[in-house]
Amino acid sequence: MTPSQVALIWAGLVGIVAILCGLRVRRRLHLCVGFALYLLAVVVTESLALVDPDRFHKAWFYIWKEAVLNLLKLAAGAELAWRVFRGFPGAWWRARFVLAPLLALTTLALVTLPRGSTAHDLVFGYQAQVNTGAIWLLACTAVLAAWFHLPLHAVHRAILAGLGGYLALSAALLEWMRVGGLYDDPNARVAIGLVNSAAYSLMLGWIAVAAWQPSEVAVRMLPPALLARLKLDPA
Amino acid sequence: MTLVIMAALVPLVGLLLVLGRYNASRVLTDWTVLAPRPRAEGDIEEHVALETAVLDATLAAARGAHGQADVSEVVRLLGLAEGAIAEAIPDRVARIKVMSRLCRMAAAVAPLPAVPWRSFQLGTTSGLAALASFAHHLLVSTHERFWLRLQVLQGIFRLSARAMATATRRAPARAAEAITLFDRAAHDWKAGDQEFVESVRVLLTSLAARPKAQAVTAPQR
Repeated sequence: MTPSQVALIWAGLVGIVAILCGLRVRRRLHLCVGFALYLLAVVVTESLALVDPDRFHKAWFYIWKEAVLNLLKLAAGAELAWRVFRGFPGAWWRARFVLAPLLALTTLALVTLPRGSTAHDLVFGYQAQVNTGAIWLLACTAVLAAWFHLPLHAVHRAILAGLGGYLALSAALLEWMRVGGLYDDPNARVAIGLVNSAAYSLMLGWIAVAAWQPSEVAVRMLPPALLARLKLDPA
Repeated sequence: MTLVIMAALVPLVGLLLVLGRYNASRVLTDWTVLAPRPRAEGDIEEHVALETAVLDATLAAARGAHGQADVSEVVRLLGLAEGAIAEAIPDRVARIKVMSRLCRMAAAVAPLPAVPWRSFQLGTTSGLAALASFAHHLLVSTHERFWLRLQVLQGIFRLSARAMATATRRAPARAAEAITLFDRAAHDWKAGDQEFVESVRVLLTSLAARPKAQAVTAPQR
């Protein structure tokens, strides 16, 4: 690993710790359990690669890591959709017709990874598709919430925008590498990896700010009964 | 640009546009307008009943003053009643606008009949209700019909209030005619209120309903 790669990994780890601490301090961990688990999995897997690169900076570990992280990303997206719509049965009933096929298709793309696949197969055959499916899930959640006029917690908005933005950029970069045949060029691979990691750190910073911010004035002003009706957390 | 890149960037643009335009405070305010307390429909019903009582009492006093040929008192009382209605209009319009937005998410809005045009006495309000009754049969979904019903009620409130203002202006010169006009406008306002309360009740029932698990029925009047 180059020094810039190590620095970006550390930046990402700091961002994740900042998010988890923010969620814990503001008592918001229950708002996004799936996303918190995803972040914890990133911390564990990246730490292993940092601590013992000879053992864990390998293709087999990369494949397992990405498979687990992809599953957790999808779970986080599904949980986010459920938390946004759960207080509104009518909206949830309609949203399921859009969100369920998206989730099913993306999961299918993920679990159909054949045995013996290489890191190259994973990155260029599946990762972009899974990322694209996850973006559609997040985008449809946001669009349907706005259409049905549902309240969205600030942390949920930050995750939707941050994770959606990062996944779109990541998918576009991977596809660009595949189409341009840049995978075989080590310099291009490192440069694109750096851009990807920088975008990831930016996303984490964006969500960390939302995790630490005090709750919005409009939410704090609502009577407790209405907060309960809207399944909104005053935290 | 390949299909995968397009497929990744198109939802991102949509996501960012939606979240950029999303106004959390406005959404919460809208919910507060419709449901200030858990018993929202009861609160709205009581609020409407109170306004109706004020309107009836003031109108009865104006009739009494007219019987005693006290034109200045008639003018004062009609002015008071008209002022009360003018204050109530923004509340009704705000609630109707919120209901129009929220009815999208109701799982199944209980089918409500069109606003009955025979319930109204003014030509403008009954004409509007009659036109809407015709349009009601052209619309397919209960959501569209419910939305149309809300727009008609908004129009009825505005037209009734305008008729009351006209009656109040005419009162100094033609008190008897003004009281009759005011009476008819007040009747239409109250009829509109009845339909409004029923719409609120149906919407709140529909918003809380779980499709297939809980039947949504139109409440008995």
